[in-house]
Amino acid sequence: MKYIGARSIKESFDNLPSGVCFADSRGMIVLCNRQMHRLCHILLGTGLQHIFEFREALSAPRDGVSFVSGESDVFQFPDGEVWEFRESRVTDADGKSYTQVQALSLTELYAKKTELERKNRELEEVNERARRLYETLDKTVREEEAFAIKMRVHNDIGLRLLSTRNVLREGGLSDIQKAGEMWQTTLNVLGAIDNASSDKDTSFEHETADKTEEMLRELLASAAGIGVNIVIDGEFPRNAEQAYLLISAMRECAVNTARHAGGSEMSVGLIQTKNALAVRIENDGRSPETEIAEGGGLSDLRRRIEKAGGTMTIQSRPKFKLTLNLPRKDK
Amino acid sequence: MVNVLIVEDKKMPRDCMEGYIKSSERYRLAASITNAGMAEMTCMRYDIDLILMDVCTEEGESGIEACAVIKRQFPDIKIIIVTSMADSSFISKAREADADSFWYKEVSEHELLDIMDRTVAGESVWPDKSPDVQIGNAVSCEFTQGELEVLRFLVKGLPDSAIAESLHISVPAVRWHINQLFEKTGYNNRVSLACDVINKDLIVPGF
Repeated sequence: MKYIGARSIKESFDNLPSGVCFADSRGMIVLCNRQMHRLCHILLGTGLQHIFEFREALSAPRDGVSFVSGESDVFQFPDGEVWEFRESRVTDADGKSYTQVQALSLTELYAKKTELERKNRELEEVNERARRLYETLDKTVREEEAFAIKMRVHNDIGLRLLSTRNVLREGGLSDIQKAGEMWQTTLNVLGAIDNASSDKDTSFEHETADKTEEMLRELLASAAGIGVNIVIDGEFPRNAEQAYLLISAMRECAVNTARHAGGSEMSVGLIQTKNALAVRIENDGRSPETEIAEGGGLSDLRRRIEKAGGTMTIQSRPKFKLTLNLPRKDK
Repeated sequence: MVNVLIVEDKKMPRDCMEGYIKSSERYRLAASITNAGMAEMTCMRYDIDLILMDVCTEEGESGIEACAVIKRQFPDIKIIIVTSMADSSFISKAREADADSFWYKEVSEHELLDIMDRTVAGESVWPDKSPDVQIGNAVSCEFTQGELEVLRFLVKGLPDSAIAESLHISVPAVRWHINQLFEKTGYNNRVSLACDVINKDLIVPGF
């Protein structure tokens, strides 16, 4: 068996991956392995001679060496390595007491811990996002649904406006009434009916009345120009549509009075009832030689009158007489 | 001297046409009215040789319909239909109404007086086609006849089934045409498409 001397003990200590050193009861270093020697050089700048130098260096580390947060005796070295220093007391077989200082490498562990912390932070962020998303999910879904409904209402109203425009242009009275009922329902649903303004009506009515008057003046002048004097008995309608239908009828009859009857005066009798305007148009010209066959102008006039929900009757004998019944459509 | 009647409800083109006539020694302005419904009576009242007739006049009265009436009663009066609207159906309707010539107010390459001279001399002057207008990403000439026919009903707000019935085609065919229109114009709903078409007068409902 080989003798174990101080040299072989030092050699085996030197080969340890950890740092280790021993100080005697006075603090003088008696044994320091290679790893500890290296670490002390970094910590102190010189070799280690006394345990107090070591403690001092640890309490105020040099530049480049730093505490690892949260741990009082764990240090990060300038090369990135992390070491933990532990002091403990040991007693040898002879009862002599020594201070043992160990340096354990935590580099790998520390790297893993850091990585773990980073991942935890990321996870926490993801969690936070998920939580927020979850909280707003309900609201988002509701908003999206509301938006989709709004889009649909917008498009539906648009289509209905287009078709109403068409009904107003081309449709008959029943179509317009149907469209009106549909709008009434729509507006009720949208809660918009209360706000329908009434102040605009007066100026609009004035404008319409002015325009009607102007058209009537133009018609009377034109008819006089072709030798037909128009005499109106009764109040001319204020409603724009009735007024224009009546003007169209007077125009047609005035042309026919001049062209076919050779008359010089045309009388227009107007009686306004609650729901309709009754019109009677006659002239002082010759009676038609045969029953009047509706063509061109008269049939076009009949189409307009009937589309507006009115009626038109033509009498050929004993004298030409055209009667109209024009419904009121103000409201 | 050629006696001219102008039927035009908009002040600016009316002033413009009156200006042309006053500047010419060959023409005399006999009357200027705003409602095509009064045109027949005006022709009885004055000795008219030539009418410049707008299509869409006051109170929704159609100049083309008035043209047909006047041509029946006064076949010797020459009528030039004038419009600024791109609606291609106006040309064919004007031919059916027996109009003599057709002139686009804003885009014609010929001067109005030149058209009037040639029309009075017995010539019929018609444009080859209606002017192109931009509808979304498309130019109106890119639309097929089928697409235009569907469009004509679409702007009235009719549902697919009613369009199909009116055109005697199937509902899928109507949808196909509408999708083609969406693809060409870049619109993705029929209201936007219809609004643009009506705004640009590519289709003028009611005339």
